[in-house]
Amino acid sequence: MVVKALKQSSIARNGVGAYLFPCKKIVLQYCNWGGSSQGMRDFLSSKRLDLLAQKYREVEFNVLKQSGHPLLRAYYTNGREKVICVRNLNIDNVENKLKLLKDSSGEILHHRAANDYVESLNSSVRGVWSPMHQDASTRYKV
Amino acid sequence: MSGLWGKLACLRSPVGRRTVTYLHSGNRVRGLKRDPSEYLRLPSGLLYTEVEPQTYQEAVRSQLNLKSNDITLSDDLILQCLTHKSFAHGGKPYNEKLALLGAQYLKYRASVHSLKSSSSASAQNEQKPINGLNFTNLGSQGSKLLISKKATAEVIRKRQLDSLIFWKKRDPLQNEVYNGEATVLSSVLNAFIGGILITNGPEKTSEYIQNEFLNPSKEASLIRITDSMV
Amino acid sequence: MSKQILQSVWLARNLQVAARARRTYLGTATSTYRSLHASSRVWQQQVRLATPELDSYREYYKQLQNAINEVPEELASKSAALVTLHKRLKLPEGFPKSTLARCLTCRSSQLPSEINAPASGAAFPNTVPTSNFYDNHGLNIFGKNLLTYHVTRQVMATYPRLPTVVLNAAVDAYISQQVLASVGKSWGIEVENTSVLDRYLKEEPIQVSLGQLRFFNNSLKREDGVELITGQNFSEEAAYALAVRSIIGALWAYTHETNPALAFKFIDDHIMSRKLDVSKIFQFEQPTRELAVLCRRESLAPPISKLLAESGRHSKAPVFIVGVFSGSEKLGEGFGSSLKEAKARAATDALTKWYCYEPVKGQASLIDHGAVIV
Repeated sequence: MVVKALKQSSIARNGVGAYLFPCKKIVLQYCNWGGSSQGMRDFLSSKRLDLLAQKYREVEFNVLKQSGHPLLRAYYTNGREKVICVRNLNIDNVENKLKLLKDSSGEILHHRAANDYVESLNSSVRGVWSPMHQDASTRYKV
Repeated sequence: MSGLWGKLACLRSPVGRRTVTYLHSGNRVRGLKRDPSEYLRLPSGLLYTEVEPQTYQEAVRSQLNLKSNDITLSDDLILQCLTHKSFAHGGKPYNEKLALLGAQYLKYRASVHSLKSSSSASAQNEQKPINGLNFTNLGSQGSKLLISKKATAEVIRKRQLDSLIFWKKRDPLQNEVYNGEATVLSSVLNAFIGGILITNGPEKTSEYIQNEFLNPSKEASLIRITDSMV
Repeated sequence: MSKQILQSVWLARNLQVAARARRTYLGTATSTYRSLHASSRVWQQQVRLATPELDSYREYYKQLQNAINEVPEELASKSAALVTLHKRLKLPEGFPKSTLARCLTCRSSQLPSEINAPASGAAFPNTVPTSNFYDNHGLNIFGKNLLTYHVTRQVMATYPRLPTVVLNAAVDAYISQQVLASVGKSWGIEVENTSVLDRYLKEEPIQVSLGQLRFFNNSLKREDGVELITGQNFSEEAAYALAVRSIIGALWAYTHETNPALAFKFIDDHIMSRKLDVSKIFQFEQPTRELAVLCRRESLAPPISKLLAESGRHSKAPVFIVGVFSGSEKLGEGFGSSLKEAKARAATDALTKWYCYEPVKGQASLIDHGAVIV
């Protein structure tokens, strides 16, 4: 055989074909007694969680009673989890934090430097400049 | 070298230089170019370059009942389906990849067939059906036999296409198991399915497979052949 | 809450004896099965001192077993994991949640009888024994046939000239066990890791376990110190791949009459949308020779390599650019720090361009004549 095959794996591109919602599960942890959970308790006793859960059927919402500060714990399809402590936050801020977790892709946050905004699996469309492909008369000679 | 005879061919290259090529025939001599009219000929005398569409391709069409199933295959494609990779050292179009695709498609259609047929296992060993489909048969001996090399090769033999296949035996003096005849024959059937799939589309192909190969009323169908094998 | 803790302490005390018995067995693990049965029989006698707590545990175990061996639809549709998975994959309404639960039951969760005999106290703690009638065995086989056929066809349609080995490697790059396992993980399928006892003590509803992947996982090794079962089909990766194939198989089963293209579209969306660079699969051994044979077969003028540009021939870092030409047509180009290397790269480039040819959309399907054999 002249041609041999090297083993390769295809790389997932979420959203190119099917789009899978990255956030799969959110656990809302609250304390029934502590004052820092007041906003969280307000949020849980309001209708807001029901509305959110009805809108995002692909996310599982769990409510957990545990002493300590209230937490929002989100699990993502890439296997990571993100936790936000929502102590002493009011009902609106709790909801905002919840939406932040729900909308996150689960990736670690990066600081993007200038000229480093694009991350792509594809090779450059324009190609790479080469000094060798110039006209021979103007080419630099070693 | 006295017992050998050959012929000389003159070729004119584009540069304008005259070159002379010696085309050797007879016993193999290492390093000599062989005469195409010799290595393109089957032991039965059929020459690859002089295949008559009226006799050769039409015979294939009638044996496979392509007309009655409303399937069109070009002469070139039929010849390619009947050419194995071993023939002429892969220099002519061969059926390897068509056979690969056809084998996958046949496997898929055969598994659909066994999903829809009733189970051979006893009722207590049966898996719960899904949407009326029976998933117990899959992976059983019977469903594997249906698309086995033996069964598909037998279809080609029963339809008398085996004499039309262009292939080269590993050693003409050895038996068919040594030469892998079943593999070559089954690759021809798979290649026809693959070729039909590419040119005529999946709907026609599945209908064709159902009518010809998975139809118990046909003599040369996979069902009848596997029934006789068990 | 406090009642539960009390119960667990109580039960734990009861089971401490059992654990001790088990540990003695572990100490003598070098001996044969007989010692296992002997020691577990001792354990058995102590446990058989029936208590209401153990009876209710047995009841829970039985319920779980019944639920997994024949998943009732109303129980499955209460499972949050199943409902969200169904929604996340955008499966049609006709696809019941109970079948989704069935897709997550692998046959490898059915253990060989000598290590899975609850009566002799050797039961595997993480899952209950399943029956043959309600697992994903058949679905997996069918899903695999479906996947192999469709992916092969799509790859062949996109790259009609790929040589067979490369074609197989490309298909494998889409549907190998490892890739399907990562697809399954990205679907958010989770593995059942807690033991039945833990779940009982947490008073976990049965439907929670229904939404998780059940297979023979390695926690037996963790919990009991027994390393008995190895082999491909028992790995977590294999179980994930089984689940993905079965979901595709089941999707076909529910939609083949109403919408036959849906299962194939599902494969296109989830599997074929992945990125694969086929030119990275090739490894040529004799590119110049192969290119010469290819040109002869396709009746092109024999390939000739020409030096296009060079730099620093006498330096320690020379660069050569070589193009390979057939007549006046340029077939490929390559660079290298020696003329030989550049020539080989140019031939490889030309061959890759030939084999990775992609027809334009709407063009008639091309039937390849086969790869060149040297």
